[in-house]
Parts: sequence; C-alpha cells; structure tokens
Amino acid sequence: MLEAMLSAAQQLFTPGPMIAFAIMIPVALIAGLMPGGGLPFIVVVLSFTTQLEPFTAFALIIGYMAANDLTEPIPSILLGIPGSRSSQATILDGYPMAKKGQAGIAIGASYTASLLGGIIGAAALLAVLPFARELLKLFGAPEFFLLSLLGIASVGIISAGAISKGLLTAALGLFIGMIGFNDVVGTTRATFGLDYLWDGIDIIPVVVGLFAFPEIADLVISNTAIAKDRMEDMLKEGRHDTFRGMQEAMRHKWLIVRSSLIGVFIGAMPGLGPTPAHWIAYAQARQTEPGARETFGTGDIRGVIAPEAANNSTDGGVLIPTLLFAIPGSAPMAIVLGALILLGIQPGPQMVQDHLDLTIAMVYIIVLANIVVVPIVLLFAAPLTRVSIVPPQILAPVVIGITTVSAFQANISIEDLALVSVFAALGMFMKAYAWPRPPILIAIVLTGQLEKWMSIAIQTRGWSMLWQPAFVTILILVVAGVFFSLRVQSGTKSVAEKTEAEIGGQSVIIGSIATTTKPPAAS
Amino acid sequence: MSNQSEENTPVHREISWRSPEILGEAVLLGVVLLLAITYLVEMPGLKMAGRYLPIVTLIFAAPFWFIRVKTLFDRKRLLEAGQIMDLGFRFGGNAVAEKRRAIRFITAVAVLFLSIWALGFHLALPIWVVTYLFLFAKVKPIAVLLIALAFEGLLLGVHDFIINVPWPEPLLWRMIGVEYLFNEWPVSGTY
Repeated sequence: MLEAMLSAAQQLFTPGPMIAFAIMIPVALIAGLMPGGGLPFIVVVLSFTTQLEPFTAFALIIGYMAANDLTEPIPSILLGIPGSRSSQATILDGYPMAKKGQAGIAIGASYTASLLGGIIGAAALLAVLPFARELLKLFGAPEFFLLSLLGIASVGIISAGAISKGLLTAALGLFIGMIGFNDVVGTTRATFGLDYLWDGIDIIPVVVGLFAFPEIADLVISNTAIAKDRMEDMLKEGRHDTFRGMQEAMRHKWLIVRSSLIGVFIGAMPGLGPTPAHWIAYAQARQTEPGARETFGTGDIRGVIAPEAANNSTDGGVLIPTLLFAIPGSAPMAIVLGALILLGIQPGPQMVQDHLDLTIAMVYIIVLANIVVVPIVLLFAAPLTRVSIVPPQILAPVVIGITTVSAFQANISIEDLALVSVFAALGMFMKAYAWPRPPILIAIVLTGQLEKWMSIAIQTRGWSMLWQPAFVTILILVVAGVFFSLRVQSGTKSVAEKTEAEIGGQSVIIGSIATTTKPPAAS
Repeated sequence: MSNQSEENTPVHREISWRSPEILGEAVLLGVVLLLAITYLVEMPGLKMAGRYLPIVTLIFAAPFWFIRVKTLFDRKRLLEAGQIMDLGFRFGGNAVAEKRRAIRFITAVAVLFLSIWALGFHLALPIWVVTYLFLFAKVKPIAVLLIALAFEGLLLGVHDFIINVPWPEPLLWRMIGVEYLFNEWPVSGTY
C-alpha cells in the first residue's frame, strides 16, 4: 500500500498531469459557474482524455469534477439559486445570510467546510482500499457479474420515481451496449446492416446527447435572468468577511466531521450521491445543534457548514463503489467509469490489484483540487460570480459549438453527430418527463464487462453458480442496499419538505422533477 | 411538456394521446421492442456465449415493458416525484415563450448539424454562431466577430495545428469536386 502511495505521487506530481490539472482548474470553475452548470463541458474534457496517458487523463477528469463541485455554494449563497441539486439546502441559511450582509462570512464558512469535507471524503476512500483489496480477492466472475447487473438495476430503481421507468431504461442501456462487435462473443449484434455500428455505441456521443444538450436546452428554454445589481450589492457588503467565516467554520469542526461522514456513507450507496447526503446532514445539524431549531432558516452559519461538508465529502464516497465494484452511483461517475474503459483500464477488482497507484492518485487529485481551488474561489469570488450573469442566449451558441466539435473530435466521425441528435432527443424527453438518464449510460458502460464476467461464470461454474453461498450473499446484500437506499431517498424527500415547511425557507422543491428556483426578491 | 405546478400536483390526470409525453413514451417503447426483436431474430445465429446477455436482458426488460405499455394505454399519469439525480427542466410561468424557445433551440441545433455535414466545421460553425448571436442575443457586431474568430482559431489552432484532425469531406465540397482545403492545413511536415 505504501509503495503504491509513493508510486502514485511519483507519477502524478510530474509536469504532464500537473499542467493538465492547472489548465483544468480555471476551466472547471468558469464552466461550473455558468448558468447550466458544468456538465456540458465534461464532454470537452472527455474528448481529450483518450489521447492522454492515464495519470494525466484523470488529473483532468477528477480535477474537473472536484473543482466543478466547489463552485456550487456561490450561486446558492449569493443568488438563492442552487448550482445543482446538491446545493439546495445551502440556500436555506446561506441566502438569508447574504441578505443580511454576511455573504462573505457564509462563503468563507462554506468553503472551509467544503475543503475539510473533501479531504475527509478522500481519506475515507484511501482507508477503505486495504480492506477492499482483501474482500475483492474472495470474489470471482459470478459475483462480479451479479454485482454489475444488480448495480445497473439498483441505480435504475433508486434514480427514478417509478421503478418500471428506471428498470426499463437500464434494460434499454443494456440493449444499446450490446450493439456492434464483441470480442467475447466473436461476432456483431444488432448493427442493422450499418458499418458505423460495428464498433458499437461510443460513450461520448451518448454523454453529449443524453446529458450535455438537454442541459443547454434547459438554459435556453428557461432563459433565467439574474439580477446583476443585486448580486454585486451582496458581494460589496460582505467580501471582507471571508476570513471570519473560516474562523466560524473551525469553531464547528465536529459538525464538519459528522456531516462529512454522513456524506461519505451516503455517497458510497449506489444511486444516492450528494443530494440526500447534504439534506440529511442539514437535518441532523438542525436536530442536534443547540438552538438550531429556532435559528435554522434565518441565516444560521451551521446551516451552511453542514450541507457543504457533506456535499463535498461524497466525492470520495461515490468513488468507492465506482472504482472497486465498477458500480457508478451517478452519471458523473459513469463518465469516470467510461473514461477508464476508453483508456483500456478495467474498473472493478483490477483497480485495487493492478492499478492501485492510479486509484490512490485519484485520492490525491481530490485533495489537491480542494486545496488549490478553495483559496482561488475565496480570493476571486466576485469576478468568478460574474460568469453566472452571462445571458443564456450568448452562452448557448458558444457551449453548443464547443460541445459539437468535442463530440466529433472524440472519434473523428461525422456520423457521431447523428447519434448525438438521437440521444439528445431521448435525453430531452427523459429530462422533461422524469425518466432517469443515468441508468442508460451506466448500462452502456458496463455491458462489456458484464458480458465477459457472465460468459466466464457460466463456462466455469455453469448455472449452479446461482446457488453458490457467495452469490446468494451478494444478492441479499444488494437487495438490502437497494431497500436501504429507497428508504433514505423517501426519508430525504420528507426531511427536505418538512424542513422547508417548518422554517418557511426558499421555494426549493426536492423530489420533484423541477425546481422553482427563481431568485427570491431581495428584502 | 408539463409545467412546474402540474408536476407537483399529487393527483392522477389523464393526458391526451397527442401529448409529447405519450408520443415520446410510445416511441421509446417502440425502440425497446425493435431492439428486443432484433436480438431474438439474431439469436439462433449467435454462439452460445453471445446469447447469454441478450436472454438475461430480455427476461429482465419484458415485465417492465408490459407495465409501461399498460400505463401508456391508461394515459393517466402521476408524474413521479423522487427522481434524485436530475433537476428536470426549470419551467417558469410563460409556457408560450418557453415553447417558442424550445422550438428555436431544436431548430438551431438541427441547422448546425446539417450545415456542418454540408459545409464542414470551418465554415458552418463560425457562420452559425454569428447568425445565432445576431438573431437571438442582440450582441454588438464587434463581439460577435470576436466570438466567431475565436471559434475559427479553435478549429485552426487546436484541431488542425495541434491535433491535426482528418476532417470528413463535406457534402458541398464533394458535389463541386473540390478537396476540403483544411485537410491540407497545416501543410504536411510543417508541424
């Protein structure tokens, strides 16, 4: 383990990965603060990674994701608009603080909590690795086949309001993933006579169509206008108070630790991710902190610290099932998994056996991103926030143009644009009518290894594998995990609704397919 | 497309057959059925190893496909709450304006892709960006020009000069019998 840690440091802290990381940080910050968020630009990052060596590629991807997550508190606190679903709870106390002229304190506290949360999350991933190595030695092809299949199914179940929608989209993803030539099978399937489909469906056009274009469409259709004057007033009033906010956060260090551990645990559950984690952390802070029941929702700094620590610590948590069991818990993690496969690295047990140094390097990148990005954001919050006020009608053609070139560049194939169109139509329909999109991507990414493990399992053990104790144990554990996740999900929804009802906070609606997140009128 | 208040109303409602929600789901179920039939038809010609996953997927998908077909014919929907990874579309109050912007977005993207296919990236992309900004964003001409030049710079600088992308021959260039000149730039060996 120590040897791998050293090797990871030696390979990561070299000019290539560090230059890539340095280029990526400003890109991630600007992309994350743009209306529409950073998801469309992940495609641009992904399209370049295929030409890079793994350490540089993951300095780009994980660095982008970690830095991107760190932009979320700014619009939540200053504008009362969540940067994503995982920063909604922050608004409940962050925005009232900003309205009271304490924007600087709120930002300072939230970034200190985020920094410590991110480090705790990364440390948790590092701590799990030695145990996971031993555990994974007990697994064979049948167990990995079952884990992958149930991983896809569980994300489908958890990420949708309707189980039938989630599981049907997972099946659609498997059908799509089987298209083309497969070396295990030694033949092509479902190519419909098209040469283009011989290589199968590539992940990049899928990500562009299914995720990037619907986000840009949302940006154009909602045409959210943000009051520039109001935001600048907030910044003027509170920009000198960030250091005070950092001190305040350190006074609540145990709240940060507690909330971060919640983030790690919830993040490690397939399909849950940061949204429930930050709501549960907020709710537990409100229940356990002295006097919080009266002050939460009116601009209590603890209501900013708890969700932000939990939110950022999930970065380490979600990598646990993604890297070790090849079960991505969310769409961004499916993209990480897809990047691994594009680079010829098999996720799953090989990550801790053959590529332990790369796995550890990802931990370093999360920590480094937090250490580098937090001071940048604290120093340059005002100019960075101006990115949020670029009108969507100017931003949209620029983002569409860059994303289109990236979609083409990944495979140098003009036909990919037709595929992007198909998946964009599917993605917009799914986004509009509450069909979960991550299971399709996750299934496409996992089909190859699912088929390999299934084939090996049946050839070596036959159908008797279904009665093997390890197989049955995993089945029970995964079913229990799905049941637990569903309970957490429904609990999160009621916690969010109850909390909002009790404190009469912003009109942030969790658990619905849309949010009414118009900036509340400044008082 | 539904709006915010509808999505949060916890009652079942009947939807028109012509609604995008019903039509979209019908198409989606049709695609799943088409793929399922394709795998079933191809299965006898596949080696045993190639049949396992299609069989598992067919068994896995079938009950949920039938459930969705039944739901489709009922046309009664409760837009399910609880989708945890997605923000959905942020619809506001002006449905007419949102519909107009949705049509504009879809048309603009279709025009971009078709013009790239016909004219190639180097011409289509800057022209499309300029047109979009002029028509919809009301940006100053100098800013539009700078953005267009930045795109041309991206294509020539990064994609041609650094990566040396082999561009596909656009339709129009093929029709007039001229080679796509950006495949000749940078001149081989200069970089």
